[in-house]
Amino acid sequence: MHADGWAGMSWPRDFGGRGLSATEDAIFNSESASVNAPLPINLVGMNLAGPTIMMHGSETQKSRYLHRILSGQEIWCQGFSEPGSGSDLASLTTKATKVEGGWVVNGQKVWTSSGHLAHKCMLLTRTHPEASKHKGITYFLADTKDFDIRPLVMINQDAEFNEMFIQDVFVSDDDLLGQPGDGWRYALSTLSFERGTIGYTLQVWARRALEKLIGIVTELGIQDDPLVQERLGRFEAEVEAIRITGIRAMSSLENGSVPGPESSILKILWARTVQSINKYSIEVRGATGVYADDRASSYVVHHYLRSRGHSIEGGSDEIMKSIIAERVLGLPKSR
Amino acid sequence: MSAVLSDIQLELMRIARVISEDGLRRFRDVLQKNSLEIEPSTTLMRDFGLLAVPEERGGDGGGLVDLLVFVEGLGRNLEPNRFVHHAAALQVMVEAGLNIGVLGTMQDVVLAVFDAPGQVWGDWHLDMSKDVVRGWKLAVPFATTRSLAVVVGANDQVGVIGIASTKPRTGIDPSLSLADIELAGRPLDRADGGSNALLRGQLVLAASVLGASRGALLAAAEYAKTRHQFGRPIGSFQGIAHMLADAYVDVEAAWSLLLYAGWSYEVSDGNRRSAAQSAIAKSISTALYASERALQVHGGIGVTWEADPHLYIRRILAVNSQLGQATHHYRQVGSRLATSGPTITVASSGLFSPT
Repeated sequence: MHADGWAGMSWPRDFGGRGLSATEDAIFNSESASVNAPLPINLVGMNLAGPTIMMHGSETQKSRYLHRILSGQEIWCQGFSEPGSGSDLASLTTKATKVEGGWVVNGQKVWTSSGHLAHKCMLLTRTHPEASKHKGITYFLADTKDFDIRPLVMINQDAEFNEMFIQDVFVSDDDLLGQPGDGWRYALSTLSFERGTIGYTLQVWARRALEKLIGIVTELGIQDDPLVQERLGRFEAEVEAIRITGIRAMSSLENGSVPGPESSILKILWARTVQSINKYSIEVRGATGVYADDRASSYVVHHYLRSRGHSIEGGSDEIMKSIIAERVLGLPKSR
Repeated sequence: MSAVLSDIQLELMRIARVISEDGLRRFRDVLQKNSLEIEPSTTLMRDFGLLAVPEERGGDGGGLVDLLVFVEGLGRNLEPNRFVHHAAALQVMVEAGLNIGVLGTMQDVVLAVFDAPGQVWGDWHLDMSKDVVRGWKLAVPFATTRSLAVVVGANDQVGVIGIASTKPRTGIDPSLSLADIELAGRPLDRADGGSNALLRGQLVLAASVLGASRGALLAAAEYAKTRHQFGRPIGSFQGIAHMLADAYVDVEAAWSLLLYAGWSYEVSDGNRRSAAQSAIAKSISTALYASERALQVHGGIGVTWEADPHLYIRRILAVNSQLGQATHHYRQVGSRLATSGPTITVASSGLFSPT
């Protein structure tokens, strides 16, 4: 895909992209998703690491890393969350100590997508323990070769996330992003890219869950049942609400606003809807919906169990609600 | 593809808020004294009465989304005004292709939908195809014998007809001036496609209730900032903050659906009925839910006559009743989906201002 110019559609031409708009990128992504194309293997690199390096990296770092992200030569992962720092990310304790020519890092990261495939890691560390929790963080573009990376098995027995144990790992000064102690600011950029890029793709995942449900309903021959029709209608409205809200969020992004609370609204809507559709897809089969030795029903259960994570990953529902309460409704901080 | 409100739409939103600035006060006046001030109805009817009616059909132009944005703005302050219901009736005429000219100059038109208590959505009895139509429509807002009625009838027909007599009713939102109306006479015009046309008008009413629910939520958020318990503003407790945020998520979801449905009628999209019914159903349930949450945030004062939360609930319950039951709309959307699958249209130009 990279050779034919289909990677990094919205990346600037200078960095090997096509210089297209976020909307065009989103259309490409949603079309890919609608035909069940797998997500790009270097999604984290293209959507998060690349844009962060473009914004905050040195010229040397840009020329060293950006083209290797697009070509997929170097897979990236995100070393942000820790066992003791989930929603309260800025409390992270992975420690980096200054030594000759670089830093020595000790700590543990968790929920690392693609960690087992990654060559490089956006690594947040604490370098100034005496400073306030947002001021003492330093952001590295670290090699993962000396990390001890182990898969985390989830409730559906998939292992798409990892734990990373980091013990006395040396990171060169060349891989320091921006200024030491300024890492929280760069981390917020990365997180805003995460929220900004995913919006339009979410609706396709929700649409696919609904299409699978319609397939089940048709196969069972219950499409004329008024109760089933009413549920389908509700789901259709929710999926459409996600699609239109996604378009609205993306449009305001293109008009120059930073990703705002719309993305929090979208995230809550999407998680709730996909979870409800998957749950109903089990229920509608009755007692046979829970067969684990039947391919069709176990497939649905597998998706249902995975979707429980949707209201937690990428900012839990509760964090999203606090964002809406504070930034849209103007309420005082609720923690 | 762009889905941001245009400068004109933002200006309409601003004007709506200015006009309706003391809407709650006037609403309460009606509730206490049962009399509705003439202004600003006159102004609204004069300056905006033909908004979103195509110029070639004698209107002032502008799109349905423009009208929805304007009406949502009026709804936030519970503007007590016949304008919204007049505009809804006109939109039914626009969609059905009825002759706007039969209204004459500045004639009020009202929307008459239900003709039996507890009627299932779509099950209309009155036969509009007869030369002389006789019968009753129930709970029609703002109907007087000087108004013309846009009447939805059996066999998917819709027509415009004079009102022979009215039996005024007192509603839980007295600002709507409900009346049962008697029809006896010859329709001035009629057309097929009544249920589809009705949905276009109901989108206007749905925008009004959704605006009311947003108004209720914003007022509750203000209250949560100033009301202190346990030494803190109650809005700093997640039990309060998250309840309001939950409702806000649904209000935004319903608003997205309404804007999209408005657009799909402007461009006569093939999937517009489902778009409208999704939007209407979501607005019905969301608006009441949000206004109930807003009341809950007010605590004990919220259930007193002097506090505002019940004003929002009255308006929403009353206008919701003109929209049919959410369940019926959802069922029809689901039925179409199960038989034919979704037909998604990707807008090639601006989503909310297709020019």
